[in-house]
Amino acid sequence: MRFFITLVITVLSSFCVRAQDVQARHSRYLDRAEVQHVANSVTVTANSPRPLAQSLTALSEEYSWVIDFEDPPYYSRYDLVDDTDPKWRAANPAAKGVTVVAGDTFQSQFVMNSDTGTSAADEERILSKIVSDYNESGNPGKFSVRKEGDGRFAVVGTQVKDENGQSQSVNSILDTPISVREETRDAYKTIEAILNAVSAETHINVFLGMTAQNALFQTQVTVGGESTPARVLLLRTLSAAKIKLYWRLYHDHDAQMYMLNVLPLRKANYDASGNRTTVLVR
Amino acid sequence: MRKHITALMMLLLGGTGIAHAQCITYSLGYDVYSSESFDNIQVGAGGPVPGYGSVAISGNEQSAQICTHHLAGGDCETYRTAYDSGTVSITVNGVYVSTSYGEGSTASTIASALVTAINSTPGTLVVASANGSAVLLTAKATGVGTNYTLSSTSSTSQPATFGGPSFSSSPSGSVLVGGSATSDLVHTITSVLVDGSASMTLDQSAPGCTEPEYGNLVAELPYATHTPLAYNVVNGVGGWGSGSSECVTCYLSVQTTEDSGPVNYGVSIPFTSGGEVDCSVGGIIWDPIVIGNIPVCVIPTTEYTAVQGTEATTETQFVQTIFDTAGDNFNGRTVTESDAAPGQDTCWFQGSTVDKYTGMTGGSWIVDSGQTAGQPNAWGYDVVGWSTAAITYYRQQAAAHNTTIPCSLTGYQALTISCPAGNAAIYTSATGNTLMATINQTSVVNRRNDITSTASQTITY
Repeated sequence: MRFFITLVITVLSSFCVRAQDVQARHSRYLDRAEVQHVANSVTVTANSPRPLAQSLTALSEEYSWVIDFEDPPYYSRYDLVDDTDPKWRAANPAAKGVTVVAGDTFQSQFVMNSDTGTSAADEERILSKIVSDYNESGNPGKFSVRKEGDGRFAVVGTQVKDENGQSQSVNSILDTPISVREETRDAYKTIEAILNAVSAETHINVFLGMTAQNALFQTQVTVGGESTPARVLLLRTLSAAKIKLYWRLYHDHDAQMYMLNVLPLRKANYDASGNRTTVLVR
Repeated sequence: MRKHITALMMLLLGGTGIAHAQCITYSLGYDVYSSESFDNIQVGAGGPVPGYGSVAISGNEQSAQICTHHLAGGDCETYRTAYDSGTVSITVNGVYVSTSYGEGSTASTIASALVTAINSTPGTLVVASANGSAVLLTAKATGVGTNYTLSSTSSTSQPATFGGPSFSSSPSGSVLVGGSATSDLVHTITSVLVDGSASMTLDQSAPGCTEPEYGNLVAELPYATHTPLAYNVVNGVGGWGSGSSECVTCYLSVQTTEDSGPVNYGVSIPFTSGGEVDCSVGGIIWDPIVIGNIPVCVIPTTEYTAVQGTEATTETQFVQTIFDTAGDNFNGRTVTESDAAPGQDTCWFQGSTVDKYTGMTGGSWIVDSGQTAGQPNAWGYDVVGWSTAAITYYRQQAAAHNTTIPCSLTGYQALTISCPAGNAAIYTSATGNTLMATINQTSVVNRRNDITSTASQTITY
């Protein structure tokens, strides 16, 4: 009997501690990263499961930069954290829980002259500084900046931690060479064809998540190729759209898949009281 | 606005010698009268606007006979003509600009010289143009801060001879007006009138056409033909126009047997039968307040939405049809979406691999074109819904992340329509159309609440 009571207390204690952990982590998350300007110094502060992606979205909206982002395939307890809702866990004690990427607070500071933002070189310098700061921050994954041409950059995951906590190099799934028949389709169907080819080639599902659907359905493109990196075909497809689009490729270890989100570029505007709204960049 | 034309046609014919119809063929236009408010018409650019004002120059160059040699008795033996000289100045926001006047000057030449001086002086904050003897001033920047101070002076260099300057200057006010962060130059046209037209063609060779009937008709011909005049009232101010710039373009709707097409100054448009006419206004009109041409944009007042079909298994194609009370044709104009308010997403959770829905997705459609080609006044498809992968993901993952199904994305869609002058006007309400896509356990519901109607589609998935 004493053993049983001890076991119950231990389980309940563990449950309460985990519940508090989840709640505390969630309470720290920001809805969006904050960008603060002091003279020519800019500070970006993020807190989310993917704080680097959150930072890049904020900078993208601040300066109308087109920045793609790609998760590496996180899988270890060093990069993921349990996110199972305690009530759901209590109701489903035998079910597998859910995780999220174990990101937390991230802050980076950089110098920005008044004319910065018109130069791709400046943008690359700033993105490199941010990614370098992130790689030193202890948050999950390591990333690198890639030039994609036409003023566009991608921040791509290059390392994850293995189950021993050791760094492991990884390739982006969008670098996978694929073959897609060249034909004229709308951009939405073209992206689906590209992702289906990636899934078939890698045996990892890659799906379309949130999209700028009206922009994609209204864009007719003729895209295809043999043994061409998926990223190249994606870039060709998006370049035909009438509005500026960028992607967010997120990995989900629980569902064993990637989700590609193709989103419209937005620009942040502030009124005299500092209230922030965003508008589509056309 | 509705007007029966037949009676007017007869009035016009009354003085044209219709009794001699065997000698003539005729065509008739119409008279269109309106006194109702056209609340579906926006006037103005819609964006931030600059302050504006004017300075009116008036007067005539003065001259005087000056005696150059007096006789002993004091009478004058010889004279010379002296002309007044002086300066006229305008000061905008502390920047002073002036021009001289003298022999040969007129109010118009002074206005023109002041325009040149203003536009070539460094530091001036306004652009000047001349309209006859008036100097029109428009701030180079926009916003409330561009309602700069305005003053003007004139003086003579020969006060002893002329008493005062030949020319006076009158500013429109002590400051420029109209400068605003958003356009307040949205006027409501409260009255439009287009006078009618009638014309005759004489045919002396027609059977039965003999003198003196033919000669009488020739004499009457000038009185039987006239062309439209336009009257417009903007913000309660206006009047008859006599120039082409003051003539509205009136688009007539087709209601069964009526005429359609633009009514332009000096152009006679024949009609085939009498009936009712609805009129709306487009093109450029003369604004007596701003003193200049301003664009007019006819916008829809109603929009119906309907489900057209399904896209990508779980998304819905909606087609919209737009109207106004005059039944105008909006074909070829571009409808563009933006956010009336930020979007909402109750499915999303921190760490989700489906990005959060934040608003409109970049649609832009040409009316009666693309996927709605052949459907007058229709635009689309506006696609609303979740991708299949997002639906599956949220159904499998949301609950464990403390997010409940059903959940939804909601967007607030503001729509603009392109205007003939090149700008665009919003025609949806301040809250916009509400677009919603809901994920249920075994179905999705895509809904579009539009200005005039609501449509939704339930898809089992």
